[in-house]
Amino acid sequence: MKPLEALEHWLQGEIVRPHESRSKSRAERDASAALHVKPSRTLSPAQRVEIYSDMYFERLVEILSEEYSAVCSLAGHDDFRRMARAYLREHPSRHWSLNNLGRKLPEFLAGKFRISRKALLHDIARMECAMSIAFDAEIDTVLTSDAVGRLDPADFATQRLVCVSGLSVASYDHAANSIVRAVRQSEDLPSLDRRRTFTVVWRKEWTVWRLDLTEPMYHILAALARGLPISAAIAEGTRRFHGDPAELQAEISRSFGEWITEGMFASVEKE
Amino acid sequence: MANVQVNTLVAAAFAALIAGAPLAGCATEKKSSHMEASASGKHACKGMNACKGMGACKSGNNGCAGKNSCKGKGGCASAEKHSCKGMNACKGQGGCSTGNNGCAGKNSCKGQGGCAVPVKH
Repeated sequence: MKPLEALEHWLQGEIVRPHESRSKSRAERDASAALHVKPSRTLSPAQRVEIYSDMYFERLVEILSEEYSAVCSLAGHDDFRRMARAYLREHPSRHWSLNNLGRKLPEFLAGKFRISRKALLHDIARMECAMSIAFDAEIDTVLTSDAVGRLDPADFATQRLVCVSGLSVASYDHAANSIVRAVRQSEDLPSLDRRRTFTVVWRKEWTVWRLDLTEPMYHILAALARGLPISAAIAEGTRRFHGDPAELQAEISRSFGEWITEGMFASVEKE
Repeated sequence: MANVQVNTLVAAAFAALIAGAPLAGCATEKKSSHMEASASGKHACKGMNACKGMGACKSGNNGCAGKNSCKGKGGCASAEKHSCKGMNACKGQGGCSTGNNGCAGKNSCKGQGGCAVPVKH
């Protein structure tokens, strides 16, 4: 290894090591740092290196707290930092971009880590993760009504509506959308009790949007997102609807019109 | 719902896709009443004054107008985030080149502004 390469390797190791559980004694840190770094008038070589190590950790926590601002607010500052430290030990940064740093936080919160309001935080983390994925998604061309108008109606039932990149349709055990909105807008929190809700998160041009769905529309849109043909997706929704059939038809008309107007579909594909 | 004909519903969906949303294009108020835009500061230049008011919020963002969600956010460069934020070392890392119409190759994004980036509230 060349001298510069060795120096870089050493410094990187010293910066990330405290957050990845590779601990060294104070004496070891001092001896190691003294080989590469001069002391200042007030700081030892190891203390000078720790400035960068601490800064690195603070930046990672900052990223997580930005991406999961509602989780951070609901958990509280101290618990969020404790969670972030534990999370980063399991899922340290492995890429120069930090866009994906927090992607496994929902999975982490579903695990053994102990924190109060865990089920709520897990739900909110899932929604904020979906928002980040939509935020970072590539821009798709969007399906237009004009393009649909050129299709053969006879083939429509067996075709697939392809959703735009980053679109997420999910069910939650809390009123996740309302809670995220209230926290981010600094409004009074709605009930935090368990209640099943359904929300689609997607990006339209430069804005990430969230829209609550009824249960039948959730099943239809989720089926479309999974790649089911249109008739099969609609059948998924009808199985969950128990009211007046005319109401379901009206709801389908309203929802499909809204979904295409709001840019949720990228294209139509033949089966 | 066994008596509901899926074919009828498929036809309704097809017609709706062609027609679009009722009052589409002039329903800003209605739309913003039930849809939520999402914003969080994910900009590389978050907190830099030069980003303010550069315009990301005005792109197809009907719900954003007049809301405080845009405050201090708009139009900042680069959706990539580095661990070296706040350090000179960001220069040449490459984060400024993604989704960044004017910042590519420029120094650290600082004060560049004016580039497109998604917004969340």
